[in-house]
Amino acid sequence: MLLEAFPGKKRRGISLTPLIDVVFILLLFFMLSSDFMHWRQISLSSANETESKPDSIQLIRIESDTGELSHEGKRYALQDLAGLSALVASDPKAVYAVEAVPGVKTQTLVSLLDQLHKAGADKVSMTGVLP
Amino acid sequence: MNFTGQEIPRKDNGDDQLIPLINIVFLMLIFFMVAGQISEQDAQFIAPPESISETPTDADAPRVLIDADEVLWLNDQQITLEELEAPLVKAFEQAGDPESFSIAVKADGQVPVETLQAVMRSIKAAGFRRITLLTQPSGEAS
Repeated sequence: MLLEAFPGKKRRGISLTPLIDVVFILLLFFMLSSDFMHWRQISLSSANETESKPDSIQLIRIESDTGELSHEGKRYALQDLAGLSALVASDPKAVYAVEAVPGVKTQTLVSLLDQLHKAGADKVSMTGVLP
Repeated sequence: MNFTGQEIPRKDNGDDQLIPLINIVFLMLIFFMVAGQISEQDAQFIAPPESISETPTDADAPRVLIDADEVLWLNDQQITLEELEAPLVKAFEQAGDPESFSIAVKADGQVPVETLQAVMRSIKAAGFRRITLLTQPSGEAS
């Protein structure tokens, strides 16, 4: 009987509009401030390498962004993992230092460091940071 | 009775149409809250090089940013190669653990290697041994 006394308010719920306003603002905040990048790092010079002098340093030179490499006069290709594996297998303990001709991009250098790691080299670095 | 019976469904309809919208907005809100990390924005947008490396980054390391135009940034301030040493030494003095102190270089993938090497040399000249290059897992470029 009481409910019938207020027929207008009987089934009217809470207004959703302020809720939606707040939720939209929260959504915008989280959309704009979120960062989905997962950063990783590669070490370019480890403290261990500076403590003890490495046995030998093998210098690999990047000739171009397309992935031409040279090592002691021999040519290699960045994509040729078998060739790089054979090179690393001949001297696995050495430090592999990477140098580049001017104009080569950082991405190419990082790709070569990755390939050398895949080929089995433990100590990989770039020239200019070696002891 | 008939009159009220017509009015109430009309009011309900107004909210009923909003419920799918609210559902979606809530789902998006929960997704962004859970999946995203709130982090500091860099001074410049850079597209980092892709790598297979899985080593997590050191959050305490000062980050030297090299953007695609080969401009250096440290702590959102533009900086020259010559000025780099003093703030890095200061950061080292304030570091909690000097043994594991490292300096992270955040370079754009398109930066020429000689620019990167110049920055490395200048960091090394300041006496720092641990230098890392920040990368991104491949296939995640954004």
